[in-house]
Amino acid sequence: MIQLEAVSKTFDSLPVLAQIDLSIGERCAIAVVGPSGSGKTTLLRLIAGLETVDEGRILIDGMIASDTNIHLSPRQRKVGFVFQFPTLWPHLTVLQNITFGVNCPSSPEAQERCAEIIATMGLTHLLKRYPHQLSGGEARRVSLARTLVCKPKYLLLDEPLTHLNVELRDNLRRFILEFASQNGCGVVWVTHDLEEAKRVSRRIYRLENGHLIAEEMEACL
Amino acid sequence: MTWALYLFFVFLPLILLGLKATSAAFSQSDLLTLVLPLGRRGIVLWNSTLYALSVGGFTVGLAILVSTALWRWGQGRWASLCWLLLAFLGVPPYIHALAWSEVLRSVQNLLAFSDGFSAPASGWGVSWWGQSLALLPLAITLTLIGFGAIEGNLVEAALLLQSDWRTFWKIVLPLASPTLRAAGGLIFLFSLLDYSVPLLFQRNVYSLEIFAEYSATNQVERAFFLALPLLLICVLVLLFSLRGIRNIALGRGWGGKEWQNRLSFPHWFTYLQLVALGITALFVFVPLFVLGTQTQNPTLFYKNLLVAQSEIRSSFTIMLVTAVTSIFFALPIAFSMRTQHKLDWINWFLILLPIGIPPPLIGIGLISLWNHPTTQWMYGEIWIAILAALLRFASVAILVLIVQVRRIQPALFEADTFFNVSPLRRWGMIRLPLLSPGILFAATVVGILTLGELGATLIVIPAGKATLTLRIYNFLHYGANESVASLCLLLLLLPIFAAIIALVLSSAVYSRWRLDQHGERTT
Repeated sequence: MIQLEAVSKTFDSLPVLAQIDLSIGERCAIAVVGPSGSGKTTLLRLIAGLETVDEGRILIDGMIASDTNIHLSPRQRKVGFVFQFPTLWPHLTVLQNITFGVNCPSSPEAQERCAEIIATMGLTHLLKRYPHQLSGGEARRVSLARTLVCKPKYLLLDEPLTHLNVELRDNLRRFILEFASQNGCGVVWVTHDLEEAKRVSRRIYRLENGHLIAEEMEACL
Repeated sequence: MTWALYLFFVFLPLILLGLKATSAAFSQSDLLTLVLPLGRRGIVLWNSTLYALSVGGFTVGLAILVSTALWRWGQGRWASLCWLLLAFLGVPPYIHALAWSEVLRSVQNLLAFSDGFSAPASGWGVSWWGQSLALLPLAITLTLIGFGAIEGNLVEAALLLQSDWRTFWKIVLPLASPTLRAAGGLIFLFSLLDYSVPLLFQRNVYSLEIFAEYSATNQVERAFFLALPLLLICVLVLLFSLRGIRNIALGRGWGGKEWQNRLSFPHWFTYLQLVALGITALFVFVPLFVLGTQTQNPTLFYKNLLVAQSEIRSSFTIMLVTAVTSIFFALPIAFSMRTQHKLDWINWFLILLPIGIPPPLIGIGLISLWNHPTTQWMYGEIWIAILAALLRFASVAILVLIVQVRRIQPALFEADTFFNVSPLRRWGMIRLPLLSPGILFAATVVGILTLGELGATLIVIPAGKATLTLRIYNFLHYGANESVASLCLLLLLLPIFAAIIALVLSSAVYSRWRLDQHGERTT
């Protein structure tokens, strides 16, 4: 479980997040909505360990991941993060990008897992290409595959389906949620689109003036 | 850990020198009188400061004219041609001084038949001219970077409402002013600390006083206290320029949009631009022409190089070792500077401070630290010259790498932190390849600066050893002949070729990955 207790964050004396309380269990999907600049990305980056908290604490599976004294690295938190932009390493092929985080990539289990995700994401014919040779949608799928092959315990998604066509968006959303359900992943899905949030989860939170307000609540996956 | 190593290596010689000098002052109170630049020394310091101010002001003014003329004058690859001026950055100032002294000598010979006319072969005027032209590529480069750092939308918004000239005067210049101030500050510093050019034109400057004092008395304490007024001026100028230098290094960073518009200027400004471009052409062609004609032919050139092969070998060894070692210091520090925080101005000051330390003082500090029987393996060999160059130029490597780190999309570094991979894999597969253009560039810049270094090397180089610059400098006082001209031509061409190769390779890497200069993926 990921727990945020009275978490606050300030940038240059401007409060971005104020006294955030939130719990995300395993096998749980929540959506966070809010306008641009409301702090959605900052919230995800705090959970991921890419930013430090100014107040409060974040616990992951009962262990303090962040507080004013302690800060675990992103690697130690066992979370997967999908950035708003594909962020593929330009000098590595698609296959190298996807398998970068896999320990023992030559082991049968790792190979099977990679092959399954690559096939499901429709990337088999792209493995030898470089990022600059991919379309926006393809790059986004590669970015997603790179995160999923490592089987993270929690998935943090920062507007992962922006700028994709409707069909691709629906397919990817379905795939992500199924993957999370099958593998027992907790999901925090950030979006500015309320309709998309409703398709992700019935647990929706809205960020307003740095505060998290529950919109709708329902049981987890 | 790397910060600790950097502070230890760079500042320890000077701290120990300061402590030694301070303890000596308790028993020799007359040492303290050296701190006050009175009498003759006061005049020398005043003249040196005015000289450096005039070089800084003239060079930056010229650079603004040249940069506005070259800004966006071409399309595609031609638009980047102006950056080739960067290649002349590593040419030592005394090479320019030598070339112009030959030009003046020729003019003197021509005017010898005319009554009442003569061309000065020495004096502040010609020294100022030689120094200004030597530092012109640095000024132009920094000015171009300053203009490039301006967010494109800000200029475009102004152009919608005002004329080009008013946009330039009210928007572009003010926005670029921190960088222009920093450019002026750095030019001032380099002019103040360099004595090679004024000495050639028989003018005494304060940095030479430090060298002369140590040469005459061999007392490090006297040299230290004598250097304090100069050090104080340099520190103040660095603080004045700090924000601008920081802006130069941080630039727009990843994601910013460069200013694309080519402005049209009033006629009088255009004429001034033409004059400035003419002077820039002179600075490029005069050294090449003079040294080329004095070298006479390729066979003689090669023969003269063979005679100096020992010095060439030493110089290349010092250059290569310094260039590679500087990266080991610079890369971790540059990486740690990629995020900004409130007190990072202290880090910036510590990075920049070595640039403001008089080179003779660096040499004296190193001698003071390493001149012991147990450290002859360092003191008696070229390692000490390598250390001197490292102390002088590690800052430059850090600055170049900070620029490189900032140009890369931050998420590309953040993305690899989620995976449980070894640091070797993380750095070997992701970070070093992404940083490779900057590493190559930083090593090249440090290498060519090391090749032309004189101020500290002159003091630390052990007896029986010599570098290319020392050989040239020693012969220059006897008048240039074809052997010196050959070596000078080598020192002129090497930095140019090295810089061009580094620029081309860096651009090739970026275009291979289809990244524009902001680190964004292009179609």
